[in-house]
Amino acid sequence: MRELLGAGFILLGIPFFIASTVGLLRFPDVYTRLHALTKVDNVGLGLICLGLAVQASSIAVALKIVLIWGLILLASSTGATLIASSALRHGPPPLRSDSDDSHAGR
Amino acid sequence: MWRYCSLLAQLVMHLDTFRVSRWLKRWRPPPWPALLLRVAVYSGLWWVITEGSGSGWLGLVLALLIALCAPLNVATWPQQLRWRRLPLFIGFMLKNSLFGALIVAQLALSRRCSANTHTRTYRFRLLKGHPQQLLMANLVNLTPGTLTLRLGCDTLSIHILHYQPQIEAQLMMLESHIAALYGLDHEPWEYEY
Repeated sequence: MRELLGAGFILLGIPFFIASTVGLLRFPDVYTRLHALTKVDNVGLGLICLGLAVQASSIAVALKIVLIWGLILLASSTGATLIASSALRHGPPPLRSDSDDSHAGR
Repeated sequence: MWRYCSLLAQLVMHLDTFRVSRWLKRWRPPPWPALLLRVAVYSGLWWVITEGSGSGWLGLVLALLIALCAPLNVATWPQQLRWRRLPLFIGFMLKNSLFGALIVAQLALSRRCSANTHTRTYRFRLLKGHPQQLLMANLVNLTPGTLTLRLGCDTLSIHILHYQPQIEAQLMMLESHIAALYGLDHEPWEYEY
């Protein structure tokens, strides 16, 4: 039963990773791509971690997997802000909805 | 063994004695309840990291050492944090995070990837301390459709993936939740969004 539940969570997490990768390829600039990386990836990883935690051999191992997810969540969120502020300082400004990018969404 | 000893000796030789003595002069022991709580949390982390098979005594000594060194920076563990509200706050953030992921995934997989992107400046209404503002800057990245570009003086520059009028209310709600977590008084209407 635990294996089945764990596999279910892992299977549920995979589409999020796929959507995140598609977003990374399709979104037009660094800022929009960061949205895909911080939000969708983390939920996908969370579901996979939950699936692995359910299948873990002991509570300590399960908690360790959840702790890893929490730390990645923290690092990814902080990293996204650092990348965005660096891009804002040194790179192009964020695209506005009225400034069409010909490659966006292709 | 000798290698470790020589490495330790080199480290001691390179220590800036002036800085160490200044650090020691500023050191104050934390209050007992805070110290006990920290030792308990760090020991728990040791137990989790070693998967329950590490030396308990070593974990306890390390936890005590870290707990004694950490309070040099008073902002690390704010005393006013309402721990009882933490589970509710984590639930709120998990729900937000899931919604955020679904919105971005939907946009990424849509036929025409037409994001109505905007940048906005959000002014803090309730959070005045830097640690609280930093927490909100981090959590904005996990809420639906928003990304922190820069943390300014009492303001947040925010990138909005797909602009909707309720974004402002959503940010205000996040701020009021963080304020409640820190035990800051605020008007009840801010919860109604």
